[in-house]
Amino acid sequence: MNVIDRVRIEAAILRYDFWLEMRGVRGSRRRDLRRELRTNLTEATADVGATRALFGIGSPKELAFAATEVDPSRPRWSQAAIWASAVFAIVVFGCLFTAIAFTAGVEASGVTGSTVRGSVFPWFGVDYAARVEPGRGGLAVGAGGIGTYFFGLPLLTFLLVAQPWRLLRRSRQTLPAAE
Amino acid sequence: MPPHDPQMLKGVLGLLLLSMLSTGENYGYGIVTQLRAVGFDDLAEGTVYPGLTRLEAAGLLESHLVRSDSGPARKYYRLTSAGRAELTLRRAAWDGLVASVETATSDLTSDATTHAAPAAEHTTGDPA
Repeated sequence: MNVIDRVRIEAAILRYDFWLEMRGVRGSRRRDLRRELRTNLTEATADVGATRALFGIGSPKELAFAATEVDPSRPRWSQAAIWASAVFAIVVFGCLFTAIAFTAGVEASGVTGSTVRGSVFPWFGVDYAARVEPGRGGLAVGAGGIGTYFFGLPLLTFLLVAQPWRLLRRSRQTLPAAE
Repeated sequence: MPPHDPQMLKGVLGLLLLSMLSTGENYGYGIVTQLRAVGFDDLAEGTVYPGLTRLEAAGLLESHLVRSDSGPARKYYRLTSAGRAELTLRRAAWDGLVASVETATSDLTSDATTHAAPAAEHTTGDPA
């Protein structure tokens, strides 16, 4: 087997492993499935060539999904981390955008030298404050209570995607087998 | 040989895999070549490997690693006692299905023959 074939096989195994991880398959099980696929692909490549061997397994994503249909999955930590990070980024962007818009509004109203407070949709419970100094002497902006959004929403997303209650389901499934 | 219907193949995949392993233990690609040798050329590896994983998860197969000279260690599968029992059940179910289908299709064939006969007579009588 030449280097290119080896790289193609490893790339397929890497994609397979990624989707197994996304499906919440635990590490040791993933290692087993990876090793088995590597063996089968190596044998098939020696027999019919890498192109036909890789064509035979089809999409690594679908293969991973088909291989884990009956697997008692662990919580999907990786997928949850990706989604929680995305939600965090959206919340930060939204908060900054709102703060800039709020400050621009205060500046446009011509109020200077005093702090203007207010709530902005959809940030319920967040107290936006902006202060524009006279003669363009500077501005200050703040958002009180935004921490709930910064940490609460990503945490909620993390829990909903990860589904930690899968641990309970797994222990219930493994209990009769142990007995 | 005409290509097999993928849906039909999906329905009998478990039976095929259990039957292949009833003759002795084998590993993933070995089973694929075994199936191809008996006429299942269109059965993709992407169908066989998850099938083996599912049967193993169901307790019908057990596996062990065997060192290979040609590459990484092979994962060999063999039937468990539950797997043998399941194979017997599935064979009986398959035989029953084949018998029913044959009865139904032979009835259809005879019906088609009896219905076709007058039509043939009519056709032959037409030019006159």
